[in-house]
Parts: sequence; C-alpha cells; structure tokens
Amino acid sequence: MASSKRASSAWSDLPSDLLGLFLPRLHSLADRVRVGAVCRPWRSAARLHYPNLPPPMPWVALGDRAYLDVVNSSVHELNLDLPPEVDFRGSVDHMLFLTRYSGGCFLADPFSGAVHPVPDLAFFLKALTREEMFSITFRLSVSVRKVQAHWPAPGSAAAPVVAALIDNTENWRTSFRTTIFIFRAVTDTGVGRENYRTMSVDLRRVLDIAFFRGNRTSMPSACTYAIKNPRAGSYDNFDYEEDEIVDSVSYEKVFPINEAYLVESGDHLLMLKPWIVNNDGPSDNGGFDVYEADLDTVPCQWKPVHNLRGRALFLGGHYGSSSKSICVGDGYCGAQEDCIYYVRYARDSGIYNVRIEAAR
Amino acid sequence: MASAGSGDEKAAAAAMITLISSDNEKFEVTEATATLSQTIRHMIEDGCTDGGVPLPNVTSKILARVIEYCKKHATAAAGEEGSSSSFSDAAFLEVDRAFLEELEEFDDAFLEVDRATLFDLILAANYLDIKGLLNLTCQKVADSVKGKTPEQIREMYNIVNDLTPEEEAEIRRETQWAFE
Repeated sequence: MASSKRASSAWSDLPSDLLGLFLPRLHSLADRVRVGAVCRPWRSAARLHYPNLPPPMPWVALGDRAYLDVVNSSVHELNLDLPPEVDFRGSVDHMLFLTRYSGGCFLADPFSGAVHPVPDLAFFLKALTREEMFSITFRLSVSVRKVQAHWPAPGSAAAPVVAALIDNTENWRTSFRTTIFIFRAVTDTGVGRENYRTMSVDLRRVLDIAFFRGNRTSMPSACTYAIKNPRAGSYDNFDYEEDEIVDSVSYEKVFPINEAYLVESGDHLLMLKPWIVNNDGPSDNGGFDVYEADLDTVPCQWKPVHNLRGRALFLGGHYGSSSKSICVGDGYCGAQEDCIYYVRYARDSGIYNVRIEAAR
Repeated sequence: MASAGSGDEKAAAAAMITLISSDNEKFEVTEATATLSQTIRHMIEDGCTDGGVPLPNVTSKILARVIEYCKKHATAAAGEEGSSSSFSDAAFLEVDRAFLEELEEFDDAFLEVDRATLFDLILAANYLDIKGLLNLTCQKVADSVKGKTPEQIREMYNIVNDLTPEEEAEIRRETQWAFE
C-alpha cells in the first residue's frame, strides 16, 4: 500500500468509526450538519453517528428566528412560518413561545417549523385581562413571564404539561400578583378533553417556577415548584430592602438581586440567586449563589452548594426565563463542568464557575 | 503496578523491539516506547515479537513520525513516575507543569503536517491503538472544520463532492440554516 500514490480524495474514505471519533469533538450543531454534507461516505457515517453523539452546545434564542451559536459565535436564522403579528416571548426547551397582541398563544418548533396553538393559555389570559379591566384598579396589564413544559416520556401519547407564570402589573411598575396556570398543550381540541383539568393558583411575588420530577418513583408525574421572594411579603416595604443594599455596599459592594431562578439539574432541583459586584469599572462582575433543594426535610430546605455535580447550566432568555442543564462529565461536550453560562439581559452575560466562585 | 515487578520492568525497559514498516524498513525502539501502542503491547505479552513486528499498514515515513511521538510521550510518562518520589509536592507540581507545557508544545509542533500525513497518522494511530495520538489527531481534524462550509472542507481535504443533486437538495431542505 503506497500512501504517497493514494488518490487525492482519500479523506472521503476515512473509516466510519474514525469519523465517529472526531464528530463528538464538534460541539456546534451547525458544524456536525455541515460535516454530514461534505460527501456521500461522510453523510452516511454522520447519520450513523448522530444518535450517539453527546448533545451539542445549546443555542441562545435571540428573537423570533435568530439563534446564537456560542461555539462559532455565529447567528443562525431559522425559517418559521409564523402566524401574523406574533411576539417572541421566550423559549421553552427546544420550542419558542409566541403570543399575539390580539390574543393567541403558540409554541413553535424552529426546526420543523411546526406551530402549535396553546388555546387554553390564550383563553385564560383573555379571562384574566377581562377580569382586570372591570376591577377597581385600572391600568393593569397581564403578561406571561415564563412558560415551562414537561414533555412526556418518548413514545407516550400524552400531551406535554405546560405551566405559565403570569404577572399582573400595575403601571408597568410592580407586580402585585402572580398567577401560575397549569394545563395540557392539546392541539386538536375535543379529543380526550374530559380527562384533563387546568389549574391556576394566585400567589404574591413569585420569582420563578420549574417542573421537577426528581428520582422519586412514588411521584407519578412532575410537580411544579415555585419560589417566592422571602423578603417582600408585600410591595410597600422598600425601606427594608434599601437598608439591606446599603449594608452590603459598605462591606463588600455586593448587590444581591431580587431574583432567583429554579433549574432542574439531573435529579436535583437548584435555585440560583444572582448577584453583581459594582467595581466602578466599565463592566460589572456577577455571579450566582447556588442552592440545592432538600426535599426530604419538611418544609423543604435550601442547602448552599459549591458545585453542579459535574454538570453545566445554561440560563437565558428574558429574565432567565429558560434554562437547561447538561451533563458534561465525559469531557466531550464543549461546556465546562460546574459552570453557569448565562445571558440575563442584553449586556449581562458570561460564564460563572460555581466551584472556584469566579467568572471565567 | 506491583512493586515486586520493578526489577523485571527495568530490565524490560531496556529491551529493544524491532518494528518493520510496510516498505520493509526496520526501526529499533525501547519496549517502553513501543508499548504506548496497545496493539504492540498485546503482541509482546503474547511473546510474538521475536524477529521484529511487521506493520504492513504503516509506511516508514509515517512509522518514523509515530515513533517520534511515542518516544516523547514514553519519556514523559517515565519522567512523571521518577520525579514523584524525589521532589516535594510543590516542586513536583512545578516540574509537572513545565513538563506538561513542553509536551503540549511538542504536540502542537508535531501536528504541523500536511493533510495527507495527518490522514495517515490517524489510520496508523487507530491501527496501532495509540489512544493519545488518536485523540490528538482527531481533535486537529475537528478544530480544522469548525465554522467551515462543506465546500471549504472539501477544498481543504481534497474531497470530491459525490452527492447527487437530489441528496444535496434534501440536505438543504432539512437544514438550510446551517448553510447561510
């Protein structure tokens, strides 16, 4: 076998199992797709290996159809056949959540282009809006802050369970009531309707909600967890909060932020509390305190933790409205262990390492 | 590793193995160097290396490069073992760090080869089952295709596009976003 005289297209003869060795090293979905489009042998090898590859690095949804591919710092546009006049309100796992001003809520799959209406949520919002319009306090606006979905096990015919966190805002200023609405995303109305119920709860100042299944076999299905702002029982105690902040400034210049995010990570439920350090420089440093729910204690307690059990978290969207936890234990995935990759607002993004408690 | 065998190991480390390339060139290497290849390690364990190890899938040009890699990394492995007993922890860490840096530099320089050589190195690393070299070369390929279009990848690796227009249309239809 004379390698020097080998045909110039030897690379297309790369054995399939060797192609399977370098495909997992591509962390961008776009790169994997493009490698599969080079030539026939690579295409069939790529197709063979796709199902066994570690998950690619998640994308950051930027708006209607634009996505940021963090690995290559490039933006991809997905073609979506959207209903007219819809607004992008965040992402729900691999779906986009869209609303229309004139009413209507949708989940859209940016890859297949399929758009699923979620009529129950639309009806509920309409009813809520109407109720507010006839109440004493005028100028209220109802908006959906976060939508979470719990997908049934693969192969199950059940529709996903969806939970929405809805803010009732007065003069765009303070949220005086939050409502959690839980329903099934049934697309074809009528079928099996009698078998399911919707549910709503009104609470004060809910910071975040999350589905959590955990590893308890006794739990038949996912539960929705909500965290409330412990400090602010009502919205007229700002003095108290100011005091807290002044104290922090004088000692370590760390501002706790009145936000918290719930993330399901592996078999654990985590709460992330962001903070920022004002260093008078051009940019603020930030980070997160991480707590893990101890569901065995009654009432449930939050224990501070200093690692993510070898996983990486992705937090993005409007006010951290979407999150994802991926396992990076095998070192193949492009993300780093125990790090939080976050895009909270347009200018507040970064990577925070929980273990060494520093930005990366 | 059992401490009782250390005397034997020292003797074994000095033992030389002859590797024979596909074009019949002979290479004398220490056993420590040769056993970085799992394939050769198994041959040695089975006692079938007398009279040399024929490697019909590897040319002399590529075998020379592979041996260069194995020599460096065998030294590195030996160096790590030797230093751990004679240095304090801090000094050991320092030496370790310097060593790893040097090894990294070696690996970077080692990969400065043309595409054809890289291809042959991957095949040789796979055939000889040298995990480190296989990881290194596969990572190099992965890095080189990052952010590239299929056309650029074909150009880089001299690959002829043998996809039918129908197949190309299908790929575009499924994943148009990846090509814009």
